[in-house]
Amino acid sequence: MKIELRGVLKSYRSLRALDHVSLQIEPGQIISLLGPNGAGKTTLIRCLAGIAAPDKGGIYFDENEFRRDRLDLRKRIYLMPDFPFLFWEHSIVRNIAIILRLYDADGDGAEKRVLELLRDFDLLPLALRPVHSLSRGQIYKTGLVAMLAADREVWLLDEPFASGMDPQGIDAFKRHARDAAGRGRTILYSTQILDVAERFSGRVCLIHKGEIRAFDTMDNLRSRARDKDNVLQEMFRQLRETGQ
Amino acid sequence: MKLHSPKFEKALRHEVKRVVRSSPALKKEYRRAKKAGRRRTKADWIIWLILSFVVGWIIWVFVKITGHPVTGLAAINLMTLFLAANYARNLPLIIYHATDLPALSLLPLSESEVFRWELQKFFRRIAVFSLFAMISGYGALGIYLHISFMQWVGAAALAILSWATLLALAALCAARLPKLPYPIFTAGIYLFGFGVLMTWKAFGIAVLHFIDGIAPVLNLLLPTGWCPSLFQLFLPGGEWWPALLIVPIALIIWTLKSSLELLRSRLTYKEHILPEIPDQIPGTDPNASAPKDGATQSSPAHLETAAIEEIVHTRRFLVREPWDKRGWFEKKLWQWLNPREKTLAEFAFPRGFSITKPWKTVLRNFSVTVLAGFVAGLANLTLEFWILGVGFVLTFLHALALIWGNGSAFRALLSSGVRMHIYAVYPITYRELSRMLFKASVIQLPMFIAYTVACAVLVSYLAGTPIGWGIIIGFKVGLLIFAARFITTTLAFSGSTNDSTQFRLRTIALVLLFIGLACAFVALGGGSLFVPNPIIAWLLFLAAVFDAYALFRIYGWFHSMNKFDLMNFAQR
Repeated sequence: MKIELRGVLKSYRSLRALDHVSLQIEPGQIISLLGPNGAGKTTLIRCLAGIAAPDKGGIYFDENEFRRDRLDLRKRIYLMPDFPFLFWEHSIVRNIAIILRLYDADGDGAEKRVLELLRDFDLLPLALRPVHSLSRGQIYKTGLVAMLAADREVWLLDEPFASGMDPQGIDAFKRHARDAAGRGRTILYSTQILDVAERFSGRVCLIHKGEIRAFDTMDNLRSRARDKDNVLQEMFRQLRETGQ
Repeated sequence: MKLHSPKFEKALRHEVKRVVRSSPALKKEYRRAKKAGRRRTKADWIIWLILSFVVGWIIWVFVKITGHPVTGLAAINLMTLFLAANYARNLPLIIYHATDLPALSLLPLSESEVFRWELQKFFRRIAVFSLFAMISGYGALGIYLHISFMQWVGAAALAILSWATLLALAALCAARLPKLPYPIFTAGIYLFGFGVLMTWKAFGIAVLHFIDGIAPVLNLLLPTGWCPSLFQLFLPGGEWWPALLIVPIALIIWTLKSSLELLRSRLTYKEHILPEIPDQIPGTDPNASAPKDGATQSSPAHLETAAIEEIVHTRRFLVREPWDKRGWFEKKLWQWLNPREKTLAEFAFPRGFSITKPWKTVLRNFSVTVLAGFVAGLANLTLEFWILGVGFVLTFLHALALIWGNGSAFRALLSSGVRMHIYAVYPITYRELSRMLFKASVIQLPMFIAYTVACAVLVSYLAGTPIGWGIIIGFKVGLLIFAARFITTTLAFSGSTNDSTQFRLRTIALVLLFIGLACAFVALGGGSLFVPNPIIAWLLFLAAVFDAYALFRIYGWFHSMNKFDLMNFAQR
């Protein structure tokens, strides 16, 4: 699904979280949303998910203007907040079942996907436990399994690598995300971990003070950088030095 | 109260100031933050001063209409009762669920220090404002009665004494009676007060005269009325006996220390070790297998991985919980819902939707109340009135909770410093979720109408009015409350949004429209009950229903067209 932001402006009182942001995101990419704290990363993700409403400008999915009552569009997008919104008193599989039904993704083959994902994320022995009895990382993995099983066209993730997941979980997520991007899914995630962003994503979106400072593929950024091994670190250093 | 070293804090402040002064950008940001903080504090104070003035004005109006200062004292009494219930609810929330508790638990602080810190927040942010309301209330009486300077001094002391009693009562209730339904009680008074104000000429005056009639008894019966009763000492020709109330008032204030001590003892950082929780096997009632809090279970039931695999592989985990087997009404609702609505019902009521059992409870409690009231009436009519009144209020609030229930669809959760409703994260639209909730209410309508008709018939029997009138009024009230579902659903969507917090044209338009239509609903609904001409009454009734529906649809347009955020910033 093609995503387009046209002059999106979003303010919180006097603070401009997004300052006339225009972007075009083609499907089948893994995009890292980078920027200092308070740069507008989470606001951008929330605008795309319909939680935050732009003050000006529009968001388009496949040339269709996005509104909250467009259920057809909303079912094609999956938002994963920094802490998954789940029913704590219910088991992992019950939560997954409720979420899959909300996305109409509980049809044939859902059970196979869920089983495979529970195995991949080491959640199978815990699958019938209530979510409140799980650790922070396990709860995040539960949300992630629901997202991967729903397998929507656009994945929006807020800081997935600061979620308390174990290396096995992170590895499984990366593997599934790469596979999904290959199938035309778009994965947009925010992170502060530059090493991960540099290796994992195909494209980088650098945002600072609500403005897009860079939106390019890792290959292009690397070809222009002086320090080829630390491309993103160099970009952040420049951002800090120029103060803009 | 300072939780950390003042010396260190001073040095840190100096250093931060130095750095800020050296940078124009930081200086600008500092000024902006300071201005915003001041504006917020100033706004809080202005709002509370205005509210206090309104309290004084209401009491002045009451006394002017009735000509009895004791009615004004009863109004202060009822206000104190409302505030005590409100504080009894808020005090534990502020102390035990403060957002800074996790951070404080990491500091080398004793529990009593943390308790004092949280308590002073309660006093500073909430409790102090009720003092203004008290001063304003007694001040209004003083102005009406043209009291002397010494009496003014006495009235000021009384306001402080009333405030201290209010805090002591709130602490007492929070510490000793924490399980009383304070939110329901305060919400009931809110609704009742709003209804009275909106239907002032038709209904409010009658309520005021009723309060006027029972004011002396009310002030004596309720502990919140004992302090206001002391004001009678200042009245010309006032009797001396209210001075005796000093003793129970002193006793209430005396309990403050032990209540706070009890509340403090409940603040603990000890890690709660919960018993291992058994697996929730699809198709079984999770409540049946879950152990109760604190209970130990020697061998919690955990299935083998192979068995869990089997549950997933055979799609048993995707089978919906069989809550339609709970009763006839549940079954009918389940049949009425389309597949999408069933999914939403499962989302909003993950524990299942109960209609039969809670309505049986309401009707049982109502029957017991009526029976007890009539039995008591054989001995004492006032007692009968109180039993029926309290019973009606409690069963009515329970019935309201059922007919307006939203389940957990609007549960607010925190995410990166903002609060959001759980439904907002998932692909759920305003209209489809509302439709499912309306269906859940409609299915309960026969019980609700039966309940309101029974209440109205009983009231008309006691009041000596024709039973037929009671049936019609009960029917209309039931339908009007059901129509108010449009408004309550809108309010539920409105929570955890910033639809009213931004200063812009569309926000102001939305808020004014909302208030206007809500007031029109109350006025039209009230009119439909009391206008003698039946045709006009039914037209007003239809207009009220249409008004509520219009409010729901207009708000829905704002919601669907992304006119505000589905989040608000968590209170700092």
